[in-house]
Amino acid sequence: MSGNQPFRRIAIAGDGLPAALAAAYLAKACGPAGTEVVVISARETGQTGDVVARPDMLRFNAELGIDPVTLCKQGIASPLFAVEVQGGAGPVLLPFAPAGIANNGVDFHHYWLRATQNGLANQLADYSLPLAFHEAKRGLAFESAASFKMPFGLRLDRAAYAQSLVNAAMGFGVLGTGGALDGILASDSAEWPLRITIADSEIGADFVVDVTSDGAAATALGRRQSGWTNRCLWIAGDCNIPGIELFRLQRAVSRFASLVPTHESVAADSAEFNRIYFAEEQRITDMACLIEGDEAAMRARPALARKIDVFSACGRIPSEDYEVFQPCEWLAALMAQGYLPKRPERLAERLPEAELHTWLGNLRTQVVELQKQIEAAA
Amino acid sequence: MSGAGSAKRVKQVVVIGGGTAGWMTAAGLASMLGSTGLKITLIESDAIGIVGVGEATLPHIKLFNDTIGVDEAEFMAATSATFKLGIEFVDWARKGDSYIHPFGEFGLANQGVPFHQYWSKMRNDPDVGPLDEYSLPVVACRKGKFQRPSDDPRSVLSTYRYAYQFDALQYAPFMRKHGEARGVTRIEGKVTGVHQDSESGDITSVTLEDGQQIAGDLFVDCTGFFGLLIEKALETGYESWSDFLPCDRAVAVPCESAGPLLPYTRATADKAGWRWRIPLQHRTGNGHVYSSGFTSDDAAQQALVDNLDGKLLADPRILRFATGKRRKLWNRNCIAIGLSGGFLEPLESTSIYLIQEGITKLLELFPDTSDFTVEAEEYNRKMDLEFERIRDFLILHYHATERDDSDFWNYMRTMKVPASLTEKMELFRASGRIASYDHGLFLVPSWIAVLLGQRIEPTGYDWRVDQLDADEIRRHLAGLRTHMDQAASGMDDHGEFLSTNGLAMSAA
Repeated sequence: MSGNQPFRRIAIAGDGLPAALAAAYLAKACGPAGTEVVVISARETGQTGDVVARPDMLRFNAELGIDPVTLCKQGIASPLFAVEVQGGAGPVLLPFAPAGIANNGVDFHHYWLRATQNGLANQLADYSLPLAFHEAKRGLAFESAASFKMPFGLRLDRAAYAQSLVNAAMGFGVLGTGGALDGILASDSAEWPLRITIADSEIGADFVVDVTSDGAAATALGRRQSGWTNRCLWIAGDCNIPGIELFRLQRAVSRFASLVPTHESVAADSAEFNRIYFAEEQRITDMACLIEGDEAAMRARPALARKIDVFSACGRIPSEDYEVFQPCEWLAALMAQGYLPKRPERLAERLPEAELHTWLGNLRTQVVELQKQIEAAA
Repeated sequence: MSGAGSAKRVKQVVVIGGGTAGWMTAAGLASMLGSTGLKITLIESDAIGIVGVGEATLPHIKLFNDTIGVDEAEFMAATSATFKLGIEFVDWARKGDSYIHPFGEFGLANQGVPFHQYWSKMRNDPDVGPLDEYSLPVVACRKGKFQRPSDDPRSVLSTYRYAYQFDALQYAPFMRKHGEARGVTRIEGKVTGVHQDSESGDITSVTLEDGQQIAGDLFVDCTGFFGLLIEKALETGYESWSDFLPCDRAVAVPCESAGPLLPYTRATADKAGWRWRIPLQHRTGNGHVYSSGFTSDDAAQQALVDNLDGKLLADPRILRFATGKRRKLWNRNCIAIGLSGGFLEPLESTSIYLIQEGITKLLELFPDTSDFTVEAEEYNRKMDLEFERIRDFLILHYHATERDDSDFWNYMRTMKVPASLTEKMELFRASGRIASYDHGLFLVPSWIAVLLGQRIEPTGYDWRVDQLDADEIRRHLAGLRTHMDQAASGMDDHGEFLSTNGLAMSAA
């Protein structure tokens, strides 16, 4: 193999929604180059319930030809403006868009904080359109949600969405082996670098993407942690924050597809993949830790401790490279844990006091009116 | 967990030093926070000269100027400014080489695949030409053309930004006028004493030669390399990067303009450093940055004078510097902005950018008087990141070279560089990919320009490129190259643009 010779076969180890998502995307991306994508799975997980797609999943689905409008009309999906996470001290709502609007480059919560210091009684959530929509008694149709030019995700029926992905995967030519993974070996054979045992048969592959919950293929190849090593990519999606399972899968397979499927793949590519993969993992763990609220555990995480300290001091939320969550989500999580800035950003004081109160009053009125309109709509 | 409402306001900021950094800081703070009751006092002495850094800038300065209400035409006329679309690097990887680091994109991405990957596959095709020819700002630079970018994202004219080249000695007075009009109080005087709180160590006031005592809540040190507050008083310490960037001197001299007014700065590699050429409306700024370990002051000065393209207008002056940064740019209640905070040679015109970032981050984290610790740590973390990522980018220019014609270049070519840079070079060499970050000044197109310009050629390319037929790519490239050429040809001559748009320097 030489040059940009594409992989002949990528095996996906896993089942259910993760396997369907990985297979569909890789087949769509790599199929035109002649790469065959095979799913090695026999077990039906039978997972039911809902799964959350964060806002950036809309574009990913569009790439696969999965139309969110159709999903919503079929009752498989509905627009989602925030997710609820069970934390150590109760549920925490993470909105996908900020409360209020920024003014002269200063985030809204600084203005709100300034007003509360002067006696305003309203909560920050009172100015949040995403939270108003989230708590409305009726959901919004996709087109209505899109009309607000505000990021939103989808709540999806897991089984039905998985079936949509399976349909997409089949359309892109994904094959199933019809048997469960029994073993996998790295091979020195010139024919196939990986030999995969399935029941009584064996197939070869150039690469394996492991989306099983326990890393069955990766551990069989001697891997102890997720990420990309040699000819195996193990994508771990465990996280109690809704939306992160699909986020991790989507980011990993799309980044992998842009980096690899050729025999020219080199250590620099996997190092680059892992650099970003693990940075994102750190950001997710930071958020999970904050929501859990264990003080000692939070202090042990420097980037999280910095977020808490800087926010408490002046209301700004420091960002790292490869943030996963929006500043509005961090703001909600920090405030849910009781952190409150001791002062707003000084730049927020540029707005005269009278204008500030008029502006906040107008915003609050708009939020209330829109919420009423939604609830009144059939 | 603190409650809201305990803030103690900063009422008085004292800026020491009135050069580029001092007046940018004072004008920036006054414009953005003057209406909140903040008083800004700037102390400077006419007896102390200014270094006048940053004749060449980056596009970010336009945002700064716009934010604080600077009128572009007024500013350009007052500082004899010209427009700048990029930086030309001559003789860096090999003698005879020339490439331009543009303030804009290369080509257009296709189906999520960066343009340079298509070019990379086809680059040995004789009809394809260098990547430069697919960047509108580069083509415009080569033709001496300029036009303000379009706001229409569908237009190729929206694929670049611009900066300025201006007379730094005129910029500080311009910013002074702007700052004083917004309430900055200027005090003429030389600081002879710095007083600190005996318990906290914070600076409480400074004493001037005439006995005046100026108190403040927050002090900004803009005293240049001297670091009157940050180093002489607070003994903050300095982190030297001279192993990576051994140039430690510069000789500067203006000369008469010659030839057409070019919309770019030129950096020409020399035997022990490099020479700059910055075309202004009324003259050309020139300088030679060099390492005293590899050449003498006299030889460096001679190399500069020998290569001027116009008549000398003043005596050459030598600056001495140590590349690196303060261990803390914000220490106690003192923030070092400009040369007092650190110095990176002006190879990529980053001096004024770093001043601007210092001011912007200070505004974002503007503290109260109760405790500066958290704000200072965050400020220092962010500024450290800015300095370090610029440092890596600068090292790349020196290290990725084939030059072996002097001890200086042999040292630079073979030295050990930061791991972060090595990884970036290896990834690009392997597949033409750029390891990007969310934070840091230089974005992907900048890295592509310099990596390729320094002759780091990818051995592979993005496999998705092969999904397009080679003939189709060839046709696409040819069409795009023609489009770039036509778009640049349709722009105005740079000099004419200045004179016909009311941007020419004041007659006075």
